[in-house]
Amino acid sequence: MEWEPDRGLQFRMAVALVLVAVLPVAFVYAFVVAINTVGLELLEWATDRPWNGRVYVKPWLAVGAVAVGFAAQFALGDRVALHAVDARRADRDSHPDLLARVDRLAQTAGIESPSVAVSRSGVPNAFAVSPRPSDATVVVTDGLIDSLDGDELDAVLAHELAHVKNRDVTVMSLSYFLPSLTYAVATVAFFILKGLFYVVGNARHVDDDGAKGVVVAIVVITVSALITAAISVLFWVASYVLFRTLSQYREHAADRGAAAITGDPLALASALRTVDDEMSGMPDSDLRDVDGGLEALYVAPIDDYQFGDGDRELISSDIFPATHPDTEERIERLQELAGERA
Amino acid sequence: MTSRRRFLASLATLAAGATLAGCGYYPGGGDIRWREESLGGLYRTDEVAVAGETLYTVTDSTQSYDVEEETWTRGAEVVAYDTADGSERYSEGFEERARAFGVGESDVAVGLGSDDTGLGGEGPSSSAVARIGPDGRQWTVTVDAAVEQLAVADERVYAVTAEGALVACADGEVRWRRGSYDLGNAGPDRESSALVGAGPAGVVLADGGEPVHLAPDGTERWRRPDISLVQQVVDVGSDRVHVADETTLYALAAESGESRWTAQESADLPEYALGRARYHRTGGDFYRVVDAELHALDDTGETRWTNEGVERETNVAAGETSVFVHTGSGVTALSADDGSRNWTVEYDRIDAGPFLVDAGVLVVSGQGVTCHVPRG
Repeated sequence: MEWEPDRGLQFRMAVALVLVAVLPVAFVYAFVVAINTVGLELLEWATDRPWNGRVYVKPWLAVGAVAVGFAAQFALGDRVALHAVDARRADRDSHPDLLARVDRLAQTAGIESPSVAVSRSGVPNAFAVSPRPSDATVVVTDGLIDSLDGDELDAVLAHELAHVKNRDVTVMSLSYFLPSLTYAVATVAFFILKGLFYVVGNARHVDDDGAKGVVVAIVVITVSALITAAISVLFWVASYVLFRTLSQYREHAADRGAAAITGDPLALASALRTVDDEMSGMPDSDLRDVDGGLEALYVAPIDDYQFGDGDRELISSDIFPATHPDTEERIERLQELAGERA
Repeated sequence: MTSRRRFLASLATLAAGATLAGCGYYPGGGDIRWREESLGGLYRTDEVAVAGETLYTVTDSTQSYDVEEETWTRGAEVVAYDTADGSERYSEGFEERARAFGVGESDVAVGLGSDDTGLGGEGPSSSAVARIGPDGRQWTVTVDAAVEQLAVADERVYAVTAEGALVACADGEVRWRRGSYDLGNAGPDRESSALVGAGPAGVVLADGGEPVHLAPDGTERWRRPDISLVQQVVDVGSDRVHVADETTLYALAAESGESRWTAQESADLPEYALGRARYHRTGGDFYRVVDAELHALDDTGETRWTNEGVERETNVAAGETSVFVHTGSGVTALSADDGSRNWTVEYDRIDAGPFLVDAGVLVVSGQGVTCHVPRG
C-alpha cells in the first residue's frame, strides 16, 4: 500500500485543534465580559444597590471545565453518535461478511481493526467515530449494504478506515464539543424567553406592588437571555465554520487514502455515484432521520442540511461551507487518480 | 458501577468542587457589605458617632413611664452597635438628659443634666459625666455645673461647664478643676462643639478665642494671645496641636505652643464662606471643607488637591488610598492621591457619616446603616 502522510491535512488538524481548545475558553470569558458589563449594570438597576465589583472565572477553572467537556465528549461521543442514528454493534454472527471486509482492509491499512455498527436506515451512508484511533467504530447503514456491490462497499469502508488512520475522526469528534455546547445554551435561552412570554401573556392580574417586580424580572430575564443567545450564536457560527471547513479537506484526504488501501479509486467513485443517486430519490424525512447532527462524518453529503427544513433552509450553504465537497468533484479527482495509477 | 459511570461521577464531583473554588464575585468599591434597615430611625437621634469599632447613638431625651412613681420620666439613651455587622451591642438609659457629647479613640462621653433642656438647649444645673465604651457604661461622675462641652483622651474625660470651668475626670472621679475659661458663644450645639480638644499630651481649649494648652495634670503649659479667633480645636497630638481660626489653620508645638506652620484659606473665598471652614484630621492628613469644596492638606499645610461638590456637614474619613465624603449625590470615594472620584453610591439623604471602620465605610441614612466596601 502506498500511503503518503497528508501534510495539508495534518496542518489543518493542528490549527483546528488549537481553535477547538481556545474557542470554548473564549466562549466562557465572553460570558464573563458580558456579565461584568451589561449584567452587573442590569443587576444594579434591578436590585437598586451598587454592584461595582466583577465576576471572575480563574483560568484554570475555565480550562479545566473545557477539559472536562472534552473528556465527556471522549467518554460519551461514540455512544451519542450511534444512538443518534439508531446503530447497533455488529458481530460475526449477524454480519460475518461485513466484519471480514473491515478486518481485511484494516490489516491492509496497518491499523487495528475497528468495531463495526450497523444503522437500521435505508439511506445509504457510512461514517466513523473515534475518541481514539485504537477505539474506532465504523458505522454503515443497511441501505449502504444493500445498495453497493462488494468492491464499492470495500471502497466506502476503506474511506472510513482512512479517516481513522488520518486521525481526523478524533479531531472531528472534539470539534463537536463547542457547537453542541453553544447550540444547547442558545436553545435554553430561547426556551426561557419563550416561557417568559407565555407566562406574561397568560398573567391575569398583577397588583401595583408586584407590577414593578414583574417588569424588572421581565427586563432582566429578556436582556440576559438575548445576550446569552447572541454570544452562543456568535460562537456557534465560528465553531461551525471551522468544523465544516476542516470537514471538506479531510474528505479528499480520505478518498485518496481509500484509493491507497483498495488500489481501486474507481470503485469509490462508483460507490459515491450510487450513494448520491440513491439519496436523491429519498424522501426528505428519511434524510433528516439519518442526519442526527452527524452529517460532517458521513462518506457522502446528505442533501438536506441538519438545520434546514425542506426547501426553507435556515442557514444557507453559501454562507456555511458544506461538510463535504461536491460529489462530482470528488468523482473527477478519483478518476484522475485512477488515470495516474494506470 | 461501571468504569465509565465512575469516571463521569468523578468528573462531576471534580467540576462541582472546582466551580466553588475558581469563580465568584470580587466586591468593588461602594458595594454593600451589609445593611441594617432596622436602624432606619437613627436620623431621629441627636448624635451619631463612631469610635473604634462601635457606632454610638445618643438620644438626648426619651420618654418612658415609671410604674412605681406612676409618672412619665425623660432621660437620655445611648445605644451602641457593632460596626462589623450592625448588630446592637447594648442600650444604656439615663435618668438625666444628655447635654454634651464627646468622642474618643474607642469610647465616648456623655454630659448629663437634670434640667429640661437637651443637647441643643441651655440652663445650668448639677450634672454628671458618663464614660461609655464598647461594652457599656464604664463610670459616671458628678460635676457641680452643667456640662457644655466634652473631650475624651486616653482614660480622661475633660468637661467644660457652663460656668467656664475645665474639669478633668477619670475612673469615676474628678481629678482636677481649673477655670474659669470663656468659650464665648460655644454651646452644646454641633456648630461650635469643637472648642475643646484632648490628646495624650493634654487638653486645648479656646479661652476667649485664644488657644490654651493644659497638661494632663492641669498645669497650663502655654497660651497664644496672638491667635484670638479660634473656631475649632482640630487635633491635639503628642507633639503638635492644630487649631483653626476664621482664615487659618495653625500647627503649634505641643510643648511650647510655637508655630510650626500655618495654612491660610484661599483669598478667593466669597465673604459668606469666611470663617465657616471645618477641618478634619484623618488618615494622618488634614481636610478642609469650605464653600462646598474639600481641600486636602499635607502635614505641612500645603494644599495637595481640591474637590468640589461636598456637603458642608460631611464627615471626612480617610483611608490609605481613598477619602470618603458626603457629596450632593451620595457617598463618594475620592483618590487620596489626587482627589479624583473612585466611586459614588447615590443617597437621597445622609444623616451621618461616612465613617471608616474595619468592615468598610459606614453611612447612616433613611435606609438604615449601610456598610460599603471601601476599595475600588
